[in-house]
Amino acid sequence: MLNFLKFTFSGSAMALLVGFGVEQLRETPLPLVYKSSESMIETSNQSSVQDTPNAPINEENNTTEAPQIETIRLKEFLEYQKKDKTVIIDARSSLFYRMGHIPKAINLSRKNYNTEINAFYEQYFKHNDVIRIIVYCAGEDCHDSHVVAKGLQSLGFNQVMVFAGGWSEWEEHQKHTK
Amino acid sequence: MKRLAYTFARLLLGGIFLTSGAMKWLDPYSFADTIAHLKILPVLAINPVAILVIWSEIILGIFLLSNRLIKETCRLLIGMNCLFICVLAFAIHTDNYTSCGCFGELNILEFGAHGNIVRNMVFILITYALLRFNSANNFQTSPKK
Repeated sequence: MLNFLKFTFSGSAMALLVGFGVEQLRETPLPLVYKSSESMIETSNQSSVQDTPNAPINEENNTTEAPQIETIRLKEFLEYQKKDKTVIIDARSSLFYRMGHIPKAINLSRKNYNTEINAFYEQYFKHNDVIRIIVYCAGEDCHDSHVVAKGLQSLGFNQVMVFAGGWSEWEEHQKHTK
Repeated sequence: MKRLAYTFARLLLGGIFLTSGAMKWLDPYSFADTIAHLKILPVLAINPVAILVIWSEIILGIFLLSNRLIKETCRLLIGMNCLFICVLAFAIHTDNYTSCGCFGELNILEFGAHGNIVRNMVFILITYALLRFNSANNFQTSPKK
């Protein structure tokens, strides 16, 4: 019993030390105190893209609460996908994006949102008339697409949607259509 | 035959826990968000617990794969899985369950709220069987004297 307790406590201490040690090697290490992804993205939006001259500023967002983000299913997604001026965003990490993504989707992961949004904005949105943005992530359970969609909405894009089924539903659809 | 079953179960479980920890490690922010949504822990404890769970899974997975400290590892895994079941049940009860976040962005072995509880029960059974087999047959790699 004593051995087990020793193993548990020394193992936990080791896990914490190694964990926080390894985190320090990352570009954006996990801080000691939790801060939600939504609030981090909001802070990043306030300090970056909205300062650029052509950033779309949503007047409504400045005065009232942002509208609810529309969630769409596969059928609607397939219809919107065919339309012009629709941007599809993959909110999964770049590793999973490289392993496979929906055609024409561009990668803006929730994880790298703060560091990539400026370059992303310059590259894809500044000189294009984007009407709607559809964001997806791994599947039904993942939350990242909602976080990224909220971030983009707070930048002033009005028609931001979340494809709820995400990559897993898309993969399933591809299997059935092949 | 027993030894083969033992090795298979050990590698399976070790692989599952190592994958689970590694997938969460790829994006610890997402796992911290998942813990926060459960509304069980105070804000100050969320990130340390996220790191603790991620690295415990990685370390215990490595112990299982390398066939070292099997008894202690199995006991700890049973305890961890019991804790996960309690947390999942509490989240379902309080309607705060959004996702399990068990395998990060990898959509494997995710069966919804109730399914995940059953999955963890299966893990406990496999771990218990490993513990029993190990105690009865001493399959563990022992350090050279």
